[in-house]
Amino acid sequence: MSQVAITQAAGADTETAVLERLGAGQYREAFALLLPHYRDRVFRLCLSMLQQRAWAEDVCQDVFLRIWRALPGFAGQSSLSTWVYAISRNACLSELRKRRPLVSIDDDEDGYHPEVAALAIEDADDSATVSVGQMLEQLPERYRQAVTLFYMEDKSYEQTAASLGLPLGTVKALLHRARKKLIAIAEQAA
Amino acid sequence: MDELEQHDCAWNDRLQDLLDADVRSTERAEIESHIATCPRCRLQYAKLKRLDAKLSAQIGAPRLDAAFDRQVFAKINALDARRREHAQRQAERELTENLQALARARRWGVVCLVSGVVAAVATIYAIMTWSENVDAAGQLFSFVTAIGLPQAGSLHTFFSFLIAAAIGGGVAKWIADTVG
Repeated sequence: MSQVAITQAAGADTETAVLERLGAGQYREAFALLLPHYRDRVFRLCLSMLQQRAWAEDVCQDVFLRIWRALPGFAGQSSLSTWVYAISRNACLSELRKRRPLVSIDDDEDGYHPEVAALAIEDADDSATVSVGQMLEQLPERYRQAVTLFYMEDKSYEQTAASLGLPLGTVKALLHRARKKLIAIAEQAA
Repeated sequence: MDELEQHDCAWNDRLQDLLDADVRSTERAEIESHIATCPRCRLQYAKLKRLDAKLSAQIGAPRLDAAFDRQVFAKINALDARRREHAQRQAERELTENLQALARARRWGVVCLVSGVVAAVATIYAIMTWSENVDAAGQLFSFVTAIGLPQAGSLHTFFSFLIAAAIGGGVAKWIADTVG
């Protein structure tokens, strides 16, 4: 069985278990099941959107508090994962709306973010003329999100699409265009 | 768009599908044989592989540690404690308001009762005084005897009380509706 299939099966089990607890009014137990399953995925989604680890961690905490507050109202209208990722994206978008003016004021003129470069951390290739962080920074936001999340999610189209709430075909198209653009950026810098 | 660009566009997606192993075996063979014969696609595929390796190596799968769960649960506990405290304060406030409303209702009840009784006594007094003056009771007893009904010795008093109670009740209700 592939890694993706295993993950999907585990996701379905978690969803069933969470819904059972919710049906019994055991919200804390449901949350205790949900948290470890979605913690890292939500964090990666936040990081791909916010690009700063500390900020992503804070927003990720906020996301889980929102989930905790909204959990009694979740009646399985959509799948649990769709619901969790929608809350996560909304939290990130509202954070971006709040902070974006500050970010643009504080940015370096060339738009280089040390935090983004820090995504590429231990194995940084010294011979490269431009780091992955700098290359990603030059991508349009949608491309950057898709490519970052795809690699964070162990190159799973399905998980990336689920997290971003986009159809699979759209994610593929974004990723293909992003890679093409990254090659162009690297050649331009060389 | 020139011919080369058209070629690149046509093959870019397929090369990337091959890179991501998102192709069926027949497609794979077709793409691989094209790469073997097309220098542009061979070069592009090599670039894609280098980029993929670089991205895979440098973009890890960041994870949160167990401390994150503890922090989230601590915040949830604080949130629940605040909610419980808020609910308790609200319950206490509602209890106080209910007790105050009950006390107000009792006070008004007493006021209405006293007013009703006073009105009833005044009415009894007025009726008895009036009936003595016009001998209404004598006429009523004569009428009752004439139609053959059993004579009640206290009929006069009974009717006086009945009228007085109705008036007293009416007065008490009027006071309760108007002032309360």
